[in-house]
Amino acid sequence: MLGTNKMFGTNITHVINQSTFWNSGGSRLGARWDGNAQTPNFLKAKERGLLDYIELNFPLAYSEDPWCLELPVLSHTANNPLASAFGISLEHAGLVKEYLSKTDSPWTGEHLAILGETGVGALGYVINPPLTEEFFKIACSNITTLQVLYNHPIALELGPFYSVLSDGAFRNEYHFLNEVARATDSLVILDLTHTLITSRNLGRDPVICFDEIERERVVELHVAGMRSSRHGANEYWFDAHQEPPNTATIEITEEALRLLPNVMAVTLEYSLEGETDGFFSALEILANKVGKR
Amino acid sequence: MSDEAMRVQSAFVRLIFSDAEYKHFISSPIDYAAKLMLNASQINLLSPCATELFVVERQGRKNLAARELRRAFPRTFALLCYDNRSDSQIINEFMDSDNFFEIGDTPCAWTGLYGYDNRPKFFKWAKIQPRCAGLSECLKLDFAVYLTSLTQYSNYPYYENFRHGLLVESNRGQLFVKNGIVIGIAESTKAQEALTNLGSQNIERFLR
Repeated sequence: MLGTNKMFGTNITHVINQSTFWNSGGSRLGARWDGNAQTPNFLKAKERGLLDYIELNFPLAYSEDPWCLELPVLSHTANNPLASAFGISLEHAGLVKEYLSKTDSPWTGEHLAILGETGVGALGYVINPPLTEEFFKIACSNITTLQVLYNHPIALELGPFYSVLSDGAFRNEYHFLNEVARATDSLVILDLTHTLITSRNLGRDPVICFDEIERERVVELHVAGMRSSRHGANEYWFDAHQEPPNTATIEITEEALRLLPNVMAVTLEYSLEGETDGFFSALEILANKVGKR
Repeated sequence: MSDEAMRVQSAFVRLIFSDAEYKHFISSPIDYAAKLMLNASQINLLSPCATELFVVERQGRKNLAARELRRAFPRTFALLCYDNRSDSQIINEFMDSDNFFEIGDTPCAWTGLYGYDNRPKFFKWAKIQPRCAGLSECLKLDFAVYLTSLTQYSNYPYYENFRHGLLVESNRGQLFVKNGIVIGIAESTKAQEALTNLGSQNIERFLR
């Protein structure tokens, strides 16, 4: 159990004390809620016993109402650039904190990423940082700032990698992630779809993530669809939240649940553009894997 | 944070989005390094940007950003694509500009903070592009539709301005836009006054 692992110091005590729901043992199944239009399907999934919690990307728009689902909430954000040399926006982080305080989320998910070339704002989806000693120090400094602001555990997540900018200080992105997590006493969200995309694009074995990351730190798994497209003679893989997870993703989820002792949450990321049937069938499959069926 | 790391991050981000910067980097990395004041080890760090994987990555990232622009400015793209220019070319030109990389001057509807929405930055860029007939009206109309559509998501003061709709000048009268929909044309002065009295604002007030 997490509470007996001394590696994490007070953070994990905080996690355990947060909520009886999260303290009840085993892994829970949840899904990322992206907007009011998803609420009817989420209500159906809740009624069928397929959803234990929802994950929310903070800050929310004013009109969004995930609270009507009356499900526990896991806090997440994609808009704090933890690895940015330009720093993070305390105004934005303050908004996340405000939402976080309305939940009993045991940790808040953050991307180990950059978002642009300014101290605030985002040009698009999260961008992976250079894996260098300097960016390691930058990430640690930004995370420490956030930890002081939040006074709450942070769980770090990596995006899918295509090209890897590296000065050789780290063996790979998981080594970088693990060292940052260790230095800042952070938890880890392992996005298994990102792991598969990276491994396929870079021609690597995906299981290196289990060897590089301290297994006890992983508290949450992200699972989503992926798609490929051809570029010349080669095939490349991308995130595709509008599609259900494929067989390889389900298999690695099973492996992760077997190998990682502290996974408390398995989160399906399935967007509004996806077919409704795909959402329910993915939840059914994952429910079986986390032992809900 | 060090200036060196900022320069590396800046170069990496620009190589992802800007075709002009990328061509410069590929054709002459040494010139490119000099322009950005990058040393040999920093330019070496960026060397994976010359691979096919990076080309694939930048294509994917640009497409994501482009999709939201195409959705928000359908009338504008139709007019900017003169002389067989594709909408991808238009988007590439925007992503080559400093407007794209700056935080802009319109707050995000979700957060009230600057820099989290590329669409107002596109508006700012497009309004200074070479003119073709009707471009100004279409651009303002697309932007009015976009801004008023956000009132339902936002309670920030900037978006409260648009709650009673926006008026956009056209050669047929003033177009009345509310909640993301073009409602109709206020042709007479009396109709325009009535809308103004109800709280509708002329979009010109908000265009810098």
